Amino acid sequence: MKIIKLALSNFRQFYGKQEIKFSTDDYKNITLVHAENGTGKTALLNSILWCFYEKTTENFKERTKILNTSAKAEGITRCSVEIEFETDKGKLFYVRRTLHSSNGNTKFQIFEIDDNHYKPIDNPISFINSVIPRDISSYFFFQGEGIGKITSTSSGSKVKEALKQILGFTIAEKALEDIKAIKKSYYSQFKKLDKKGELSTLANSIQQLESDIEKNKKTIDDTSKAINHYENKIKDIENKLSCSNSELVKNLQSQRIQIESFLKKEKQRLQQAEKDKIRLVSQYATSVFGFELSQKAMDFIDEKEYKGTIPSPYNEQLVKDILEQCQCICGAKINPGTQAYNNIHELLKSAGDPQLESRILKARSQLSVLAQDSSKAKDAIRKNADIINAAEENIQEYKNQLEEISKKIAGTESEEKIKELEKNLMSAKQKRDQDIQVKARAERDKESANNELMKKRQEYQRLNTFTGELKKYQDLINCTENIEKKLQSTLDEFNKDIHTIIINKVNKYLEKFVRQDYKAKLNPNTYEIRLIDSYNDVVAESEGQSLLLSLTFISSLIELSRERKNASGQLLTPGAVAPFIVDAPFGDLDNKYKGNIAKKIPESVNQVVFFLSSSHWQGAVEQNIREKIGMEYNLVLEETAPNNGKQDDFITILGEKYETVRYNQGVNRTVINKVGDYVQ
Amino acid sequence: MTDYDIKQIFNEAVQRVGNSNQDSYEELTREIVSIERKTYYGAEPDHRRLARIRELIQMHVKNEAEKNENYKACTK
Repeated sequence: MKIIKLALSNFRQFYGKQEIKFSTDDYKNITLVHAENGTGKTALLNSILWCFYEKTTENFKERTKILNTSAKAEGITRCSVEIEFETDKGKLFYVRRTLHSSNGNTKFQIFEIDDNHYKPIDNPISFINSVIPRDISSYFFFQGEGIGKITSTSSGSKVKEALKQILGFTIAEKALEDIKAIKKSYYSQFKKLDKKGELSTLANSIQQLESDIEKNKKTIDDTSKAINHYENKIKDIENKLSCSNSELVKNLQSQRIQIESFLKKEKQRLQQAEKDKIRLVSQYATSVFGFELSQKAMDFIDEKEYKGTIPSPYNEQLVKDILEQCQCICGAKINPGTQAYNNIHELLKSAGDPQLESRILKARSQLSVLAQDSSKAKDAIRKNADIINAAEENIQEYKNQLEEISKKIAGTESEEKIKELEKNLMSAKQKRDQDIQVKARAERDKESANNELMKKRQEYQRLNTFTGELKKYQDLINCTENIEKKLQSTLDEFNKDIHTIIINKVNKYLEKFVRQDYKAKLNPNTYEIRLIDSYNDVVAESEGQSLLLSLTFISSLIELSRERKNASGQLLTPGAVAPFIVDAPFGDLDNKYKGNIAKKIPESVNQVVFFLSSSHWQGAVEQNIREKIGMEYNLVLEETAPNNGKQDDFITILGEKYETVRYNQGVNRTVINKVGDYVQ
Repeated sequence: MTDYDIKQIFNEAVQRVGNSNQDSYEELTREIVSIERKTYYGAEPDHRRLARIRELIQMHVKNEAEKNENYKACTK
């Protein structure tokens, strides 16, 4: 979608009717609006949001006063904003919102323009939201002031919200919320009708478990945020201690960092050894527990071997065959009752079954392996126990050393501030550890409640034989459960890889811009996006770096929205391809970053409108975007007041001077003037 | 036609009924989301939202029950 024209009639400081035609050229896709402070950049951006959605940005002051004050004084009671845009398929539309100040009502209309005929759209609200959904519009019609806060510490909720909106979750989540509420009401009806109470008891348990799971989810979410908060605080205090003026504190802090790193490694070693211990038990349990029995069996076989019964000197079957056939293998006849027959019969006592012998030999071989394994097991388990003991001893030792260092730092006579820092550090660590325990408990409880819920549901289904009204409510409950599953699985599926997708996009931009070898990392629990260095440590970002990170995040959102433009399924709202209209985006960025970002944005968006003051565009920004500017305007402030000796106020564009303020005018207002190459 | 063929046809029919149930839930979920969307964007009044969703669910349950009755009658 591209915006062709914006016309304002008595909207805020824009007295009378004024309009801007935006560049719709594919290459020269930038429209640059020069606006010094107080001339109406924010009002211009808000006129678009107001026209499409009747909403405004947070920094739009006195948002109910839309009608221009001079017009109001003249008795005019209406103001309006009109926008003409074309869709990707080339269809033209005209949008108009009019405010009637007498009753405060607005009238919203959209017309399709077909060969100069204006055909009204039946449901304009639904239509405009199908072009650019309202919940993602803030990322396209973007208020740049304060943008750096989006990805700053403790603003994970904003990132989470933005991702959900871009993924089109807003509506599906509302539906899920409603379905849960409806299901709850069906359960209540069902319980009232269930006289025996058996099913109601189960239904109660199911509801209780569902509520427990929700509570545990919230606890996990809250504690994750708290843990992250304390970790940031700890890092911050540790940094302050490392930079202390006191050499003693600095040294102690450096020792502490080193010992903490040893402690971390030792804990990992202990954890690994504990895992190995479990593995060894399952690997060698048979050898260890069967050792004594195997020894006895071996002794038995050995004894038989010693006595010469194993292996047997004669084959039992052969002796039986000779006796049965009454003939020796040499051919001689052996008749029953003869001495020879009796002698051969006597051999049966020491003859053996070859199959049985083979089994005994195999058993012997297995018993030998068991004996060997048993000896290996002893070595491995002893070694493992040694590692565990050593790790536990080392951990205790490091903890003692850390405690000692903490006491020394807290006891430094040098500064009260350091004592305070140390106290805060210990307190933050304690709170973090408590939260880690609470989180782990909530995770265990959630898991167990999930298992219990599954059992209860199965039991409920088993008892599920009812009639009449009871059946009706049971069917309604089943139906809501199916809808709930459908919605939840859709949300889960799309939420699954979003962290990786968005962070890859952010990093793709960052690696082109950021000077250091930094990457962005998103904490999947808190949704905070932070810069990390090559050692994977979080960087204490400067204002400029935060802003850069936020801008790359917004650019990534727009890219993601474009990719989701044709998302089907209708459960999640599809994304949009829309112009990026941005007010004062470059804030504290240095010249090079400003230039790079300004150059990159028009490469990834079809149409860009920049509202910039001279301090933002002069220099690097202008150099990087000049050849891509398709339209250029200047907002001029007209004042009825005389000059009173004020200095002339103007900006220079392509060597030409343009006024930014005019005095002694007929009315107070802002006028939109074409400037640059476009002035005819 | 062998017993095996008849069994096969019967299994396929059962499968189709199962799938159509799944599709009908998909369709119902879409309709509910559509009501939410219209309400969220202000095209429809908010106070009717829950009542309309309930109507859809009740209608769906009623239709499914009728469908099952018909199916039972056919397979008797």
